[in-house]
Amino acid sequence: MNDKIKQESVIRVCGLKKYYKGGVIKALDGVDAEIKRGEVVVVIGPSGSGKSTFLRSLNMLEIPSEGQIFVNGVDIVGKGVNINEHRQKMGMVFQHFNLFPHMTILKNMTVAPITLLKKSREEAEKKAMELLEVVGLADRANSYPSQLSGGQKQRIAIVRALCMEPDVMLFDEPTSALDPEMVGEVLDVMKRLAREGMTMIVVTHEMGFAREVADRVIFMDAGVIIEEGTPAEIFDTPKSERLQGFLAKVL
Amino acid sequence: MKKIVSLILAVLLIASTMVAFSACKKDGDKLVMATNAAFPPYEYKDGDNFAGIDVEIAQKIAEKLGMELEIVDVDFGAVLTGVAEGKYDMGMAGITVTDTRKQTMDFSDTYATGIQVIIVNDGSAITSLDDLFNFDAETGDPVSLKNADIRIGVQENTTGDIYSSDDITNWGFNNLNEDGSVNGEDRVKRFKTGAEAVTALKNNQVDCVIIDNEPAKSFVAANTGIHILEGDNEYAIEDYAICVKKGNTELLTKINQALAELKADGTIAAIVAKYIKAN
Amino acid sequence: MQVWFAKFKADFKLNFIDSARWKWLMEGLGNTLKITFFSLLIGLVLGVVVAAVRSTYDKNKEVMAKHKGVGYYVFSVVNAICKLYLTVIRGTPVVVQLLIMYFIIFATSREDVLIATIAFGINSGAYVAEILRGGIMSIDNGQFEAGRSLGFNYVQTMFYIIIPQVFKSVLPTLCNEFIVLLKETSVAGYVGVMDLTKAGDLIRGRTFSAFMPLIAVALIYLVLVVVLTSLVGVLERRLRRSER
Repeated sequence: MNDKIKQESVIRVCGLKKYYKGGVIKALDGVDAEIKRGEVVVVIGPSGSGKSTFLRSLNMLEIPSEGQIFVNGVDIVGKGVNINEHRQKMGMVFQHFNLFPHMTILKNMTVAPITLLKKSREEAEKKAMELLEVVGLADRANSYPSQLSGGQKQRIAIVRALCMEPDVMLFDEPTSALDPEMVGEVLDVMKRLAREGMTMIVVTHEMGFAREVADRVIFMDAGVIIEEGTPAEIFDTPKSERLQGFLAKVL
Repeated sequence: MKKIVSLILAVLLIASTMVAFSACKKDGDKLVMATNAAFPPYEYKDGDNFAGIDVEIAQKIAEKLGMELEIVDVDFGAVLTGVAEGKYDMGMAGITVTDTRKQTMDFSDTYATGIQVIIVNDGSAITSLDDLFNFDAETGDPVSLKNADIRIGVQENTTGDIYSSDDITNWGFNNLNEDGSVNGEDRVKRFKTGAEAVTALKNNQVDCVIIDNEPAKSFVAANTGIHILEGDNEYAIEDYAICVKKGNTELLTKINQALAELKADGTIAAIVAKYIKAN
Repeated sequence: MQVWFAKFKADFKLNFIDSARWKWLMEGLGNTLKITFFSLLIGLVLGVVVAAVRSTYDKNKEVMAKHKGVGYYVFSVVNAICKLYLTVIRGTPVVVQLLIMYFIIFATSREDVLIATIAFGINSGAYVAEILRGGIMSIDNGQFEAGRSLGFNYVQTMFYIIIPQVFKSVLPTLCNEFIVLLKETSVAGYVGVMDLTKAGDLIRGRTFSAFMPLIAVALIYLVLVVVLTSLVGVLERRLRRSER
């Protein structure tokens, strides 16, 4: 699996800190990380460990208190950066799907490419229909989000992000809000995406997915990275006590 | 035993309710007078109490009638409406006797004379009635306005309002259609109180205010920069009377009787003198 | 019964037919509608601007505070002005605002209908602003984040994603504000405007009867409100259907 990863780094995070209430709450307390092109990184950790804050910082949905985030070599935390352009290249999938309820599925998927990438309607819709075909929801193109199941909504959310042809995909607990029988269909889409070589950063509680798909697993606790390594290293030979304790609870 | 107790309770309950309700009703020894206490010196509020010529005369009438006076302060229009519908026993609010009003209510003998005057700003182009109207040389009646854009400020539904809302040939400021509706623009601006009309005058939002002489004197005394057109320039002269519900001759007779006595013994003159200093 | 009917007929004639008094009601109705309609327009424009300032400030103050540019300080001042406007307007009765407008702010103008329109417009703007802001705040923040994460900037996110949803959710409340406004204009008579209520008052003061003019005025307001309410209902059903 490792052979698809090029050595080029897409995201590099240096000394990332996020404080709330003037430093009383330290959601991130100095995180350094690097993500290479084509790599699938899964971030695990107990709730409140800062893993979601870390992920959301990567496209500036959380404004870091300190530190730098280099995306393709540019520090996106700095002044004068057009964050909107960077976000176009970073697709994000949320726990609660966040589909636009007032738009059809097709419109959900085409509004951004038409508006931001200046694609023609036909072109954008063609691309959207291809992606819908892939996730098996082509027949729902003209439905509204309220008519779909949770699993279907999340699959749509993934392909909506893909319509922008991003370099990186961020997943923020994509299966946590789903009924158990729908988790599989979403993970299948993500696995397929990983196989196709997408750079992915996934915050999840699905340890099976992490073990099977991840190139690298990061374990976070209390706002810092405690341990990172291959799935085998993390799950089979955990070094730190905290990781051992965490795994004992979740596995 | 239980039944008797509950029966007694029920009777008590009904009885007390009846007593409570009857207390709310107008009873025979109360004289309810409706007024609009924003018309000094005839009626106004002095702190929490009512004061003014009408209020004091009414007090004296109530004494003569052996009744207790109760004063209700409502809009001027509501004074007339309420009396016409029998809601109040009598209306005393500087009310002028007019033919229209006579159709819906009965009036007592007059107890005071009201004069409608014109208040203008100092330096106003209006210095006499001749600056308001063009008159027919033969009949002496107005035929047209000097200034078609003139705006007259009045207190709504007072005599000043009703007179100035009339057709020009009838000493009003509007052109009326055959059916009595206003033709073109309504030149009369009607305010809730005379004080607001005077404020509008001082702002130049109206060109003059037409209002009863007595409140006009108070307004002029309290404000600098305005004056009443003096000389032979009163807008109208008329008599004030007390109104009662049409057909209530019993009360009307008593009121007239009381008024006659009060006039005879000089009480009314004294009250008027107390409020209006001769100038 | 016949006596009663004859009296009713006579009253009706006295109050509406004689001196063509019904024309007063028509003129009053015209002014009431004119004031309501144009003050609603003013209120909408003002409300949108104030709601935009307030919610943009609330949503972006964290980012702006981090960079502390000139814009941040300008925005803070504008936001404070908007807050003051909302506090003053919502904290004082509309009739007092109307009197201040007529007797103090526009003391040199004779355009009473125009002044009343502006006064009611400014008043309505505060309520519209808060309705809109409430609507914006009620939209799940996830919608906002989803828009931003696709690469839309703040304004685009508002325009394509938030506003259409806000519009749908606040439309009934906005229409309700319109109905409230219609009824509130009944105090316009305080500055001498001949509105519907004033027309009734003038008829009342001249015919000395309460029943006919008051009931007539009440009925006209009622019919207007019932018609408007049913229109809102139709609109609401349309909007719901579009989601199916």
